[in-house]
Amino acid sequence: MSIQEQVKSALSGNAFDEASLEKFIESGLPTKKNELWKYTNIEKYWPEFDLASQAPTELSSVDKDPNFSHIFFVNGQFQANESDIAVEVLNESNRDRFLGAKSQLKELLADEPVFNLVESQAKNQYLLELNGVADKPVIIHNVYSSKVAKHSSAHLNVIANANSETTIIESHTSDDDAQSFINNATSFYLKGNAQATLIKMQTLGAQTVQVQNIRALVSRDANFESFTIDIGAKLSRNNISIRLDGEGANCCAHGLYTLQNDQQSDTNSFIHHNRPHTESSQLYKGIMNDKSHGIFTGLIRVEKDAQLINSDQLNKNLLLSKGAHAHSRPQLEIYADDVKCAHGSTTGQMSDDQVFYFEARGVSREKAQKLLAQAFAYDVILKIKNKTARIYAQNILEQNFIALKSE
Amino acid sequence: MSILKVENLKASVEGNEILKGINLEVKPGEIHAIMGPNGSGKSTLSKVIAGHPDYEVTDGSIELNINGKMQDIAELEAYERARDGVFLGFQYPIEVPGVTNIGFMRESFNALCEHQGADLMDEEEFRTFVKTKLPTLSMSEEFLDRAVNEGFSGGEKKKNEILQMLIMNPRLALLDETDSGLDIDALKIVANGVNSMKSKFNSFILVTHYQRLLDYIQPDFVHVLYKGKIIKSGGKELALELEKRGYDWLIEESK
Repeated sequence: MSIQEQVKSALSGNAFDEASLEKFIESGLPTKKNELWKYTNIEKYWPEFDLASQAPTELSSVDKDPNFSHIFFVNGQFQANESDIAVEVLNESNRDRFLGAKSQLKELLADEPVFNLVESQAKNQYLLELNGVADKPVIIHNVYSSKVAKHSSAHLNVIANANSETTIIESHTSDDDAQSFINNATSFYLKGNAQATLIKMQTLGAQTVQVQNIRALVSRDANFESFTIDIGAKLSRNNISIRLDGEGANCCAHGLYTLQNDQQSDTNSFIHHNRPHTESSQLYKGIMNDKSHGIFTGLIRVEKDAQLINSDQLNKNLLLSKGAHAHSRPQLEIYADDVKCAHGSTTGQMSDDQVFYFEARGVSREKAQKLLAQAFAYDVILKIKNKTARIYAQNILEQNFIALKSE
Repeated sequence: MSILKVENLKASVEGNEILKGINLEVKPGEIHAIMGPNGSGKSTLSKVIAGHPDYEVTDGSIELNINGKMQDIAELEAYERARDGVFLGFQYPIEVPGVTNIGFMRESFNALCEHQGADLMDEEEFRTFVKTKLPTLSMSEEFLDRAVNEGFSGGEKKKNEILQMLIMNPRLALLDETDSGLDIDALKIVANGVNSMKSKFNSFILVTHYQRLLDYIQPDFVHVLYKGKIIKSGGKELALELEKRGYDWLIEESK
């Protein structure tokens, strides 16, 4: 059976969003002919679409750091008993509260086949509302067990109400032998003056595939910051689409991918300046070892009447071995005439001069390389404003930092 | 016993022989100045002694006094030589974005401590220790928390090298043109740093272009390097003569 047929037979008649399902059946999975998927053949990673074998979902152990509020998902399914914060199931009655209010949100990633696939599935559609200033950051634990069905999908819709302020860490972990194809989405609707930060910390096992769709509609004077930190998984793909939809709306979209062996990480970001006086900033950094492959494609679009905007984008890649490679495609589409946009990209090896400087001071070559790679990576982590979340991210990175080989 | 004994040292980079048989012996408490025209191999000599991986030693030996025994270090990695008491002050100190100056110094200080079996210092202890060295070099504490050499002026970079030297307290300091590009005030501060560390237990090799440095640091020996060989050695009066007469007469004499 073709992939379209597999999906059609599994979801037809009980899709979450029929229009999305129709679009997916029409398009199928993206091929390399799709410019946004030029370097990643997603079909190669696709296991048979079989939802019948969904495994029982339970947490084996729960470790709750008191510095955070905790929310748990296992194989995409919310675990109410363990969680500190209530997450609602998105249904007909509360759906309009989220999507109905702003039809523009529906336009984000509307032509992305993998996102349409998430929207096709009725299982694991959730809603989370944020109010007021959170006293501590939230960790959303996404745990994937090895007994899971080959496919796992979940969509968390987040409303950040006016003047709310929240930092969310989305951690993604799995058993070492988990082999899931995880296709998730997190959508934000930030109302006036809301502040929300989303930090994806992905340390999945080496046999998993993760596609993460991040959408944000940012209203007047609101600020959205996203961090995608990819350390694990065989393939990680981020589709990020942010629309700055009111004056004074700002966003940051930063990312870090540290890869080894034959890992691949592919990020596609789209920042849409739809109103004047909006700002965006992006820093994506990749460290590639062995035969790994890092890809960044970033498009900034500035609409005709979105004057006086400020936007910068930078992608920097550090290659640690001859077999590693990086692709970087910064793109600008500017229809306004009074804007400030800067973008750039660099790819290079570790500086021998810097390594020797450490060596001349008694630090071994191996340690010097590790410290320099960490310094390269910390640039991104240091942009996390919430201190508790920043230290958390720093610790995870340190624990998982790729083993460096000297050549 | 000497601290360093270099015999018939020959070294090349990418197949080109730069050092063509150097002999040099340095005893504890001595300051040696290496002078010579551009391209004579002065900087190469300090880099080869420090163990720069771009240079290949093709003949001769470099012996260092390690715990009272002369040992050939020519095959050791640069970090091993540093741990055994060799310090190289860089002609062009390297910028390391993302690493704080104090973090960098603590990393190297603790690497030395570990090698010598001494207790490591935590951040707070180390900061207190480093702060005692700052007045000698007229440096403010703010330098410690900036990224290594990033955005430093030429003089600040050189002072930072001397600060690292004072922290590591080496037995043999190789200062590669530490005086180049310094104004007179910075030069005095750098010389002050060297003089404050000088003792009967350690030695210095100053690679320099200019006699001016030697007005502030008194060398015991001056060596003139030309085309990869030492063509003349003498006391500090040799430097004064070079200042007056240049190198040509020596080059003629050596032919």
